Amino acid sequence: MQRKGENQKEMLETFKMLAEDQLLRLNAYLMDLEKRPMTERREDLYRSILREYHNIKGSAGTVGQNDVMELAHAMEDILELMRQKKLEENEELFNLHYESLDAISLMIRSRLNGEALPGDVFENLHRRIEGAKHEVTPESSLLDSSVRQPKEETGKRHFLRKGNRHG
Amino acid sequence: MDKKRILLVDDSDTILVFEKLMLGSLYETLTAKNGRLALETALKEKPDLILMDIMMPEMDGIESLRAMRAQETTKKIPIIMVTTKSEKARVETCYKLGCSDFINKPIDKIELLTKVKKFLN
Repeated sequence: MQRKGENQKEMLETFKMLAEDQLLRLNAYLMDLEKRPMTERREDLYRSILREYHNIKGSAGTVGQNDVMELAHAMEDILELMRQKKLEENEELFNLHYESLDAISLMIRSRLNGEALPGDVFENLHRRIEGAKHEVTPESSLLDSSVRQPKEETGKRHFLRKGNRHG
Repeated sequence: MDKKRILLVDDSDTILVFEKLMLGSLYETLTAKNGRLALETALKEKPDLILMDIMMPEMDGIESLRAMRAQETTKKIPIIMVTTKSEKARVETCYKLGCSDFINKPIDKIELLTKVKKFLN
């Protein structure tokens, strides 16, 4: 039987390896969603993104990566508000998602490599997440936004969006 | 003596690996990535216990549980549902449908082993 420490180390390595794939999938789904697809595809994408955040949350908690778990949980909440049209799908919110994915990736790598985390980045993210939650709007005022035409790529640059992999 | 067999059901590869690492040295494990595949595997393999997530694509854990309880082959297999704290309402539904127990994510190894052992030893 494996010793406890070996088991935990294996779980952490597994988490890191599979989380990278999950983050890339999340990034791709978010980019599709940002193109404002038709209703059925939109719902599929929301379900897929919610499931990926939910899975990252569950697996991060199991290996004791509580900050990753909390950030994934917060972004799951933001996405659910977007799905319910209580938050408007806009560039700022999508950027918040992309930056959160970058932050999650950074947290996982830093933790495993024993490196310090840049605290100001996370303070900024958490402040914006809380700010977004305060922007919750009654559904009726957002009806027009749900039928807007697909928009062009914004040109914003985020590490995962460029298709790169973190090492 | 042959090891007891547990069917692990989750759409997350990470969680399936974690569960295998937690249980694998004591039990034989099978896996399925959604409720439909879980039902098919359970009917074919007749595992001794099923550990099943709720939120999954194609067929979720609740529908799979309902289907398993309606089948003669699977209706008596102990089923432990894996859930999160935000899914309290679903836990009640699972109990009404005949789940044996539940465990919260993040999964605690000791709690998992204790609950599994309760049904298999």
